[in-house]
Amino acid sequence: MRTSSIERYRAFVRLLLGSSLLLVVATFCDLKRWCPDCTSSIHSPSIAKKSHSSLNLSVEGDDEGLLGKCVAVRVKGYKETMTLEQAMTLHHPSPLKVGLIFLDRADGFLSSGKVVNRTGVFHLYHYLEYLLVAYHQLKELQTHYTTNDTTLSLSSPESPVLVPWIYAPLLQMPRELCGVANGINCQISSVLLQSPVWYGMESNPSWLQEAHPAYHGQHAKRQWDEETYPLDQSQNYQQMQETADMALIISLHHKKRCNHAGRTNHGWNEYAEDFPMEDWHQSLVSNLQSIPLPVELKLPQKNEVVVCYVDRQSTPRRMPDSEHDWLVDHLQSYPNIRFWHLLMQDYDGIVQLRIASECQVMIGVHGNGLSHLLWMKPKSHVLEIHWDDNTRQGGYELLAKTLEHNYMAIRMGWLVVDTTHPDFNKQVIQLEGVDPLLNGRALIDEFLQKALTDLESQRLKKIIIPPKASKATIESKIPTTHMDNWGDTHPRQCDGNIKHIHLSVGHDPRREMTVSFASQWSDIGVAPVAGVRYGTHPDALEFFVGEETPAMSYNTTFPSDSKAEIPLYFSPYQHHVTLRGLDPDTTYYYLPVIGTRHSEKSLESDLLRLANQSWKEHSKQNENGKDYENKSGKWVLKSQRRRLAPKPYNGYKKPCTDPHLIRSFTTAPKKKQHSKSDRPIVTFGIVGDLGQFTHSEKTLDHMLHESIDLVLLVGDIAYTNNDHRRWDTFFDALDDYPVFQSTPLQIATGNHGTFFLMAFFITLII
Amino acid sequence: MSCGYTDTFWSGLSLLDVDKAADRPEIFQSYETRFRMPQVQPAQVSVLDLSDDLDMNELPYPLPYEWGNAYYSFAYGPSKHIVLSAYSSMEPDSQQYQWLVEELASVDRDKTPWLLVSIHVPLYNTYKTHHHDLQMAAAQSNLESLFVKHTVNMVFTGHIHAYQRTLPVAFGKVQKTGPVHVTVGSSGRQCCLTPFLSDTPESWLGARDGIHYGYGQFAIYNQTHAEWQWIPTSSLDEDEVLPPKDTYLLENQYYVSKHHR
Repeated sequence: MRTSSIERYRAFVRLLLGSSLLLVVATFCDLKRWCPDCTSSIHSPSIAKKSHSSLNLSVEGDDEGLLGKCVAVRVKGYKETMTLEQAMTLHHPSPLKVGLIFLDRADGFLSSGKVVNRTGVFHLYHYLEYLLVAYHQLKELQTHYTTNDTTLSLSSPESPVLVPWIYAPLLQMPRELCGVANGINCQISSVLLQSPVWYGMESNPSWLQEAHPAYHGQHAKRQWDEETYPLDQSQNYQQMQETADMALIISLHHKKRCNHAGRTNHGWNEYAEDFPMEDWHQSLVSNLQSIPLPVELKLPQKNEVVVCYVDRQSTPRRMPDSEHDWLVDHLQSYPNIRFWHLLMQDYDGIVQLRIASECQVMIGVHGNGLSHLLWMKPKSHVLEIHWDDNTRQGGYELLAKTLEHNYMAIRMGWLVVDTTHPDFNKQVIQLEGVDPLLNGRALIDEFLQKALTDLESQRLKKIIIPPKASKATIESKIPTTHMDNWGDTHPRQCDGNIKHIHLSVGHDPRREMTVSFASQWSDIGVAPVAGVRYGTHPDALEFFVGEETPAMSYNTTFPSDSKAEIPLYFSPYQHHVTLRGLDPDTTYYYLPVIGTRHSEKSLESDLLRLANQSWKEHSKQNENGKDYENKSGKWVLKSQRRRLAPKPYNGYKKPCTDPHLIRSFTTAPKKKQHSKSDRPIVTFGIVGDLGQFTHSEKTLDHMLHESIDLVLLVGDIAYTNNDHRRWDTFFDALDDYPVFQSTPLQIATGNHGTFFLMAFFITLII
Repeated sequence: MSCGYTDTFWSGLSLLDVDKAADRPEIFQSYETRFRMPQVQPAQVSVLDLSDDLDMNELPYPLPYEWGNAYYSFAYGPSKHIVLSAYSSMEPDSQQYQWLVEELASVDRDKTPWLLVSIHVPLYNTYKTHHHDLQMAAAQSNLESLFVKHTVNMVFTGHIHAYQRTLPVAFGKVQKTGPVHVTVGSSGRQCCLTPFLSDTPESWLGARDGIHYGYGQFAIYNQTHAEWQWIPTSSLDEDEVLPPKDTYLLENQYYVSKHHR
């Protein structure tokens, strides 16, 4: 059992870190404790250089404050420190052995001036933060030097682990590793500590046994022999010096970080962009499958969500009993959830992993037990409850965000929405006329509801399309009724095919993009179901995302008779599909698809059917269309593009956009990016008062040929003047100048009362 | 001088026809239906009560439209974008204003050194039209101090069918750390000849062009430097040689202000 669990952890760490040797040495604000020869504390930015004489390591102060920055590299055999770039050009026998040294850290707890050993509780998840930084740094290194002989192999978990151990200050603090609630960090650390192959130590010394959570779960023993601490530390440095070819010194420095009063959690303030969360989680969970769940924890029924409450009422940091009882009662009676009331300290470590990996929602008071969120499936839901004024650290938040969990923190009894609120650390913000406890309960309810709704909709997302095709078809209907009186404004019909495709960024433009498009007119039939197939190669759009909400449409009086009782204009059905979890600065290819909605069936089942459709079936709508002809196996537009009409865009009987053309876009770059050349990092297009006129066409045409990352349309979009058909003709025009099928379009409310506001504008301006 | 074509089409329509549906009497429904911005909260749109004797020279302000696609923000590379709605309330007690205050306060210039605001109506106007717009007055009196306080780099606007760029400016006076306001209202809609308010350019004015169509590009090179360009794309007279781009190299005011402190 022990060996296999070690293997699992090794697999995890391998996935997490790749195959390089990592020597992770963390030093905190009190650097001297960790580095007796260092001349001064690292956290003052004015100190430019420090050195550790026995190791000949030097560290340059850095105030970047962003994701850990490598400030210096010390290579064995070279006297001077150098930059990472310089170091990489040196010849080294491949593979290179790299040690990482992290200087300083951000966490409020640790930066409060009391170093870990005094407190006696070490939170291993903090090390995972370091490991994430390490991963990030090494990944970058790999990206930059792929052609070099000394390439570091990081991406493949199958690569051999060169020196399969992680060397961390864990070694120096074994006496009380495990905090209350028996958090999973204890498990990791105990496995690390008990594995002789990982660091070449004598197996199972008695202090390790004592440190094991099964031995004593609570803060039972907090004795610490401070004297041996620095001693161990120098041994560690020594080991690193002997083993690694190169040491990367990474500073997480931030000037405010060590200031107790102003602790801002800035030092490590960005989750790791490239963290391969899906991969490692999947592999880990499949390993854990063989571990039986405790009998008292029943697996969920279909449609039930597993909500885990990590109870730490047996500890000093806890909720009042009344609130705890309320929460337990509430969760027990909550519909559609499988409630697991967890006393983690009752379970063996590996069983804890298994339990946590099944949790879809995790709730708990701030503390070690919450580090179980590490083993939840990425994009799960985590609620951190604070009672104590001093428990805000941001650590769990950071970890939750790195794993892309939906995270919320509340301070029961006080009005706090999340920990990013600027007033979070100040005194209580009392809600006027609101019972603070009831408010806290309401926030918990709000969180639960959001989590349940989200988990429901997540089931529709990320369906990997199997190769087998189903028999569903896409129907095509031609609208007739509402076209009778349309005078000379003629939006294209397009036989109900997809048209008007345009992109907008999501909340995080590095990772999200919304694809919007229209399908058939809303006065006939049922709204089709829609989704987007996408992938990083045009030949393999291996992902499918269904729309989260059904298609939208509206109808209105037309064009100007506000007294009319019957709506005369029916918009096309509008679909918005948001692609999430994308990689930054990456080109994606996409194809919007629609399918039949069977009103008697669930949206989910229709979307699944759509996801399973073959390419041929997706294309069927085009073959039914009238605007394309097949020229040697390729569908092409029947006639040439025409110029915009001077008056409303007249696309009647004109070619529609190609609904099965695979389009592409590129996600936003990372925030921290340096321009390598004189080319800009990003370029925005700024457009105002565009409309659908002759000169609009010239602007669009110009933009089509420019390299623009995103366009802001600062108001006055379509010039519809109450005539909603002009929204359609405007998008018809965009179909002919498809700038926004590859570049996100962000709009500002300018004319957006368009329909009537524009009327005013015209009056004033003409 | 006449525009490229006349707009007689527009004149025949009732101007009071609020976008109204039989079963869902909401305004802004088309905008909410056809676009999906990274919204802060779902839109709150309510019925607009327009009386028949509305003074057409004064646009209604504010309109009952909150959240949704109206105002939102996002970070893109080294820049933070805040997009505002000039047609929702911008008053200090409004939801939009309070959201904006929080949003500005939360910007981390170490992460996103560039802070860019988009709003339809300009706060500065060298042209003769629109000087009585309620939205412009509200934006000026309520928003400018926030923009200056938080060292907004650029304010992108439209509305006036012409091009205009200010120098870095705060409260009417040229100031190194003030935002640069640009108006790019001539991307398509008729530009004709929008007359200047005064033949002598205002002291804060950097450039103006009321007779060409065009659009802007804002290119960020690093945390301290970016370049604004206005690119003329066409003119009423097809034979006319287009004027050169208006190019302006911007030194990040945030760092300028830090150095001067």
